[in-house]
Amino acid sequence: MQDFQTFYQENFGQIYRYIYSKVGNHEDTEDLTSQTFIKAVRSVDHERGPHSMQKWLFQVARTTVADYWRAYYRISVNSLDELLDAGWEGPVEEEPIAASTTPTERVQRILAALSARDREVLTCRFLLNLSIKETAAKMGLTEANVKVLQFRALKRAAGLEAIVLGTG
Amino acid sequence: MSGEDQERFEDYLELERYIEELQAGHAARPPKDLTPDQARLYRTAALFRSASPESASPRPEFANELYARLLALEDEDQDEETQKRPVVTTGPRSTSVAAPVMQTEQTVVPVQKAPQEQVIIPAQEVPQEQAVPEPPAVSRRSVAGKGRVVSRRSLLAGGATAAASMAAGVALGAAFKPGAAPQQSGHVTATPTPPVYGKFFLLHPDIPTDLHYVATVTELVSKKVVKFATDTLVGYVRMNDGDDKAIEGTVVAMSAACTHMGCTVDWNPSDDHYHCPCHGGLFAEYGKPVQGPTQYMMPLPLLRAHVMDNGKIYVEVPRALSKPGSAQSWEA
Repeated sequence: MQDFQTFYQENFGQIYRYIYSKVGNHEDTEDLTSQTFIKAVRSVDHERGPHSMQKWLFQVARTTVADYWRAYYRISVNSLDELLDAGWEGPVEEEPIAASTTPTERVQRILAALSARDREVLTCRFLLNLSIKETAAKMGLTEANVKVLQFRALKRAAGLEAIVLGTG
Repeated sequence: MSGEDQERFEDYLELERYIEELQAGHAARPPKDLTPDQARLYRTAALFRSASPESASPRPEFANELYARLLALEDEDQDEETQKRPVVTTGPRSTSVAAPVMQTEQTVVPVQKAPQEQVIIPAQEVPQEQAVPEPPAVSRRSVAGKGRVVSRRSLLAGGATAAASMAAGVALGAAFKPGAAPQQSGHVTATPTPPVYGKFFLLHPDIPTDLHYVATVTELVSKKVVKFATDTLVGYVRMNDGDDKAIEGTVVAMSAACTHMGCTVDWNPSDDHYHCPCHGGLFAEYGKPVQGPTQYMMPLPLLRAHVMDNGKIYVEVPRALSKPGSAQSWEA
């Protein structure tokens, strides 16, 4: 009992925050965190030690997140490149979940690489949590302008993410 | 950048809707049929959202709920591997018991709350045998949906959910020891043998417990029956009148969870019986089910009581996993 409690205690927070950084809201994060732990516990190989259990757990978290996003993809994705592009982590070992960078740090790095206007609109909507109306007022734009701008800024941010962070 | 999607008016609207959902704090649904580029954009939005100064921390209740659920699951899995079921239970394997039982604010099931929210199982699915209630596990559905699947075991045992969880934890703990294989001989369930009246205890001796003060001997003698409640269970204590050879000990303590569906039974002083408000279950002074429609139920499970030299009576209750406000948290 103590060993499982320790294992859970050591990994729950990390897994939760990792998933949160991938889906952006608590409700879905709770669902996916539950799924991850349940899957991991169900398929636990009793011969594994705790360290390899941890790796297994992280792997399950990654595929759970990938499955979540995949559900929103257009079905026509069939080339491996497209799949990888679409976020399928594949069998490749990607960056460890306990990465040295927090979501905040990663976002700051991306923001630093954007134009001032892109930076401002994304900061307003995501970091300051301003509404469309407030953002428009702050930036001296119409609401329609902001909707277009945030879309394009996010798109550019998405494109930069791989370059700035060095991830696939 | 070739292959770039044409921007459509809907794109802006859909993104705006997604951002508003994120800001509102509830589940956010990206639009369907995303191209890889679009998907990447939405994932970036999720990343940006998670960098917001608002907390990314999980609710402690959620951490506790999930932990309890994992223990209950492991218990079910162990049951299925073990072929030691003494009884063939009736009812289809994939019973649709899955209505949300635990609402979000609760931790490990407090008996006094759970019964009101329980699903009523149609009569034919209740095991008619009076042996161990090892009912078929509910179907293994993903918990991605909003319902929380609760094992029938926990419904039947009611207050034993916490105990079952603790019991399962022992088995689960064994799995997490380095290099250890589960020891079948040490395998623990809440009720490893058919419950014998007078010997049927809720908590396996290995389960860590705390002592919960309930009353003094003097009080108990004058009140006859005292009800008590902790985070994890509700129970009754009474003095042993010595009129039932099966019952031992100076003080008798038992769980108040009806062994039918887990509702909290009420002690009635006029007949000195425990009545279940849900389906008419009836138990005699030491928890034995009386003749009648519910005669095939198990007796109310016993709890271990201790009388100290100073006359104070304590009952062993499952040690809580974490208390609100305590130093222990689930975050590494």
